[in-house]
Amino acid sequence: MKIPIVGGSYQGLARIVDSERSINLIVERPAPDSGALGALLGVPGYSVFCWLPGAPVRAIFWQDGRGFAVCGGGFYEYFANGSFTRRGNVAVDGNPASICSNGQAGFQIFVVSGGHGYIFDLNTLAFTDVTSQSEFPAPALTGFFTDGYFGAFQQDSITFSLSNLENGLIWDIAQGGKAQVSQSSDNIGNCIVSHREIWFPGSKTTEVWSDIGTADFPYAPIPGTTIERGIDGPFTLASIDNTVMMVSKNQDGSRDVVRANGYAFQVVSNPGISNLLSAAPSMEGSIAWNYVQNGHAFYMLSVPDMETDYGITTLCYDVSNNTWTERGLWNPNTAQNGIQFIPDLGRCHCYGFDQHLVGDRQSGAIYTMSFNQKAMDVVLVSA
Amino acid sequence: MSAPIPGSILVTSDAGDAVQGDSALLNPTTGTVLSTQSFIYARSADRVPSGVNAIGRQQSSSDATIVALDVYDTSLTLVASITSLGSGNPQTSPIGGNTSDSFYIAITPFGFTTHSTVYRVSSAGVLDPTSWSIPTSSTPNSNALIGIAPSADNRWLYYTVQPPTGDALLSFDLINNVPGPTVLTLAPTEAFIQPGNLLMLPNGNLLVFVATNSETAFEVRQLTTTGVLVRTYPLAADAANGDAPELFRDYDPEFFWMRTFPDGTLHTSLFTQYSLTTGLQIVQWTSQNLNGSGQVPATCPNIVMGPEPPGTAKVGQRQTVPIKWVRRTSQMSDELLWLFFSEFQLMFQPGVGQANDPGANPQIGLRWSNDGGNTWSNQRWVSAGLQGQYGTRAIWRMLGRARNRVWELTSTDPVVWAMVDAFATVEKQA
Repeated sequence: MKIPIVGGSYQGLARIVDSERSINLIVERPAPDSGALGALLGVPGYSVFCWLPGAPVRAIFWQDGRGFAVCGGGFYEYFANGSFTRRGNVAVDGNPASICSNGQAGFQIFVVSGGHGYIFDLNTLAFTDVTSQSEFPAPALTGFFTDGYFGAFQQDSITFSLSNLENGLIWDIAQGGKAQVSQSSDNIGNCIVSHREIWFPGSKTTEVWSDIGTADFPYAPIPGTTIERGIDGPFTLASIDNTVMMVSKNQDGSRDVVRANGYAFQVVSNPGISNLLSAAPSMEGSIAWNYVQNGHAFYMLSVPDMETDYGITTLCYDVSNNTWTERGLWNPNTAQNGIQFIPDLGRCHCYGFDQHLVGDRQSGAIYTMSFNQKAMDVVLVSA
Repeated sequence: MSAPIPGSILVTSDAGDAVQGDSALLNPTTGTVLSTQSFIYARSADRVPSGVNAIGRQQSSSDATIVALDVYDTSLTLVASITSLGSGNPQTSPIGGNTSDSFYIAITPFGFTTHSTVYRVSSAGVLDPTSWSIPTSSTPNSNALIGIAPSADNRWLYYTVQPPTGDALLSFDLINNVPGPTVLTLAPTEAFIQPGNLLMLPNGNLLVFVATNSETAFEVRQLTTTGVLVRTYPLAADAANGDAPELFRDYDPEFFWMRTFPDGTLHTSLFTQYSLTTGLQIVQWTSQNLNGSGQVPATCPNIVMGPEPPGTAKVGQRQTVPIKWVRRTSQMSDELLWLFFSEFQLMFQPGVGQANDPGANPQIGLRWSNDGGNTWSNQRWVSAGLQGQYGTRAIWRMLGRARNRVWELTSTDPVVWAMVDAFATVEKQA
């Protein structure tokens, strides 16, 4: 009798429904006409690439040969050999930071951390707090770059702002300024850029804005794109596989993982995953990050206090084959009953210096993630 | 002054400096002067908790008379001005503070040639330096005080100065709740900080040491392996002037600073930031003429402004742990009839063992549940094959019976894992 060994995780409300688990495994589906079997493969391991002072790694970024990270209260530039230099101090809160760049158009890095905005000049190495600029949306939660503008939105509001064109040092009404999401009344939960469009998932609905080139403020909502789903946990938002994913909620309910298809959201969490999410007390503190490796695009979702009978794991959605698995760190010295996991140590990711770099959610370590690494060489932090 | 950027450094002159009463707020990354202000200055040995507030002393604009002890918030807005506290007035005394136990402590009275043996504690419970209701106390061994600060676990520290020549040795003693004094032989005056429950201090060669406050004494370990900076003039010059190289705490507890006066003139300050984890230098810059009038607020203290960042004191330890994988299948059943399992075979990639341990002989574990995953059998292990043994088969036999069964496979060995199928040899109840 054949046993269904290749599969993902699905935990029903009762074990009699299903209790499938795939922890630290990747599901490989065969090509449609190959006739080959599917497979379960081991996951890549971590090794320490560099270890920044402070904790945790709150954002990581790489573009055109230079890498940057926000760790604790510091903004760092890291280099290919794992060395690093502190480039500035940032304000700190419990949220992730964000980093983006306008590249050679302005030679600037835009950092949002602890409600403040900062501009790092790639040439002069000057690090400037721009929070006091008249149109800067303080306290800001997340920054972005699109069409020559840096942007950010104000926490607990419907307001977002754009900087001047290719100049994040200036936030005034000359070229950018403030705008308000206007198609619905709920506050902005987070924002993200996908295909030059800015997505604003709120607490109940989502709006999408695009650049229409008007002189006073270049962006406007795309008619007919208001989506009746908002975000549950602002940092579950991720741009992956040419689209947007997040944990959603609206006035009817919550805790489904959704993926944008055009200007609509499709639920991609199976009922087992939604059961797990719904059992968590809150989505506050939940963080998603994503990466693409060996043809698989992964959406990694860590939810604090999402208990399973194997401890707390990180949910992992493989976009390439629509399969949910789990990731977790297992420490033989501390695992209760021998099988208790803690969530994967990853919190943020970028691909830089030809390797996958993952920021640690507990320490200041940045890891190299590779299939050649068959154990976890990590920084463990005791409570 | 406007609100400081997080981690900015407030540098003040003290009453021993010719330009007493000047202060400057510095950018912590570049050393750029953000703003200046007159008539705030502090005592050399003030140890105000980082990120809480600043202590300053207000000086008369017409003479050197100290008018009041002032307390400023992190925006440098005056929150309290204390003009008279009677005997043991902390207006003229070095002050330490502690956020976890919520009190200030001051040496009183204080002079540059005659050091006091008396200290005084503010009212506990609320970090309020305006209320000093607790009477004065004297050091248990009559040692003279030059600096004083409470530790995180409510042990109060004072240190005494030895003859101010050469690499002067300080004795650090403990008072309050400590059975006896602990003496460390350390050189520069006024040069210690306390991130959390650590005491950090440089010795005569400017090696930085970390002392962990244990139950009865400080356990000292060396943090930096080389002198944290080049000593360009004798420390005796510091001691003679009362202006020592100074360690002070960073906005982020992961870091600390050392400030020295490399040309000995007290008009040039060298600021160097270090990592507490690694002891390595992070940032270094030099400041001159900080107040814009040709003068330098050259002396101590240095107060780091801005709110405390949360959760940054964790350091961690690098370890290698295995990757444990688990695959639990869905249930097998057939009309809830008894199923008799004589064999379970896994189709996988064998022969991938490492040349040496760990992983030389990788093992796969199998266990099963006959009640949908509520209770489980013991684990049974089989080899996945040594390196190059590509004919290895993973087979488990004599597996009992069940009406429904869930299988679970697992391993922790560091090899390439690839599993493609599994088969059970089953007899169904007739």
